[in-house]
Amino acid sequence: MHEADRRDAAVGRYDFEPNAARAKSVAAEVRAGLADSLAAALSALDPDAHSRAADLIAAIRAGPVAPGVFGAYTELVEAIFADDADTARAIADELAEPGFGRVDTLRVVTVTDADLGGGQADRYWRLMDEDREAGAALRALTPDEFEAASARVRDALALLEAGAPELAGELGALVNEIVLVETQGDEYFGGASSFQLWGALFLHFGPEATRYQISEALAHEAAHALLFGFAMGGPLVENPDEDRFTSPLRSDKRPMDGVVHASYVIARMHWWAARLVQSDLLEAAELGAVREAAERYVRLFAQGASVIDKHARFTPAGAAALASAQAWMASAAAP
Amino acid sequence: MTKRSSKELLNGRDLLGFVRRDGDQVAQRASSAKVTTTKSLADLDKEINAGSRKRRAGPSS
Repeated sequence: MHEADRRDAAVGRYDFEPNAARAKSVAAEVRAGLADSLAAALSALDPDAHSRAADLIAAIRAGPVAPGVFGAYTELVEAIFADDADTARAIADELAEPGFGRVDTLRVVTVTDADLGGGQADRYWRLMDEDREAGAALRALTPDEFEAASARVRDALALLEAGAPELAGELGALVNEIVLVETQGDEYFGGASSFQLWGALFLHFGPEATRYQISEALAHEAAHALLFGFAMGGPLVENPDEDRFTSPLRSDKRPMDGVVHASYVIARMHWWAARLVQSDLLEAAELGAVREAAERYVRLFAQGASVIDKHARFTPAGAAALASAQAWMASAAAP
Repeated sequence: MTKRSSKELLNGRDLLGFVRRDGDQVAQRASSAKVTTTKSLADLDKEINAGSRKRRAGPSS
């Protein structure tokens, strides 16, 4: 057995450090759940709809599929529960189209049907639009914007691959579309993830963003994707959504699930900073900024952990994930 | 025998990314499945420096 294989075999499901093999295992579990749930939804709609999508369901079990498959499944379930038979049947037809949702490798895209497939841009916006303000404030990149921005994303990915290959490998196992978006007006938007489009990583950055800042955003969103996978799209806590708490990454109060997500992600960003500082790949100015970031993450994690310790009622997945993050941050804070 | 609706057939099933509310009657998206937003280091700096500046972004971590 090679050293890397031995290391992968010893990795536990909730171990904190990024690991591509573990991420592939989590992704396979999520896809198995998607395949089962999609089969159930299609069978409830019409036994024929299930059989017509048999190739897609087999593909979901076999390997990565496009985030749009998660999106179509979400909208199918919602249409069924809304008694909207026409919409449900239209989605079932879409799922049965040959080649629907098939992906090869990690792609950088923007929100257009040309990049995502017919009808998918509207679906992505709908599912991103949990907060209408956020959805309304975003648009696809123009071709010129996309050419420049995608090149910068590739620079950031190259930095991750060279400086934090474990994280780059995990990202590659969890994410198959980096979706670049632009803001309209002066609204703030850095990036987003949604389990309803699992495998899509939404990202926005301005002209001043550096390669390390973009790589930090990639690390951040990949951590959300992992948490979604750990919980199979469910919550990390049992606290009611209506209960709100101070979050280390927001000026407004958030549900406990968001506080736990934020705290775990902060720990992952600390890991990212520590790894890049060790890498010798950063220029002097970058090095100083990333070191400062690492110190900030120690403080922010402590803020989140304080709220969590007092109020969180964890699910088993949430407890295990957060415990691993706390262990990492405790070791980072040790002299 | 009355044909059962698709919704009735799906009620009570465990559905990925959905949680059941009110018994088995309505499936809703799990809260953690909603979007999360991120901040770059620079944006985080701005917010820390700006204190409680209100952001208008999506429901985030």
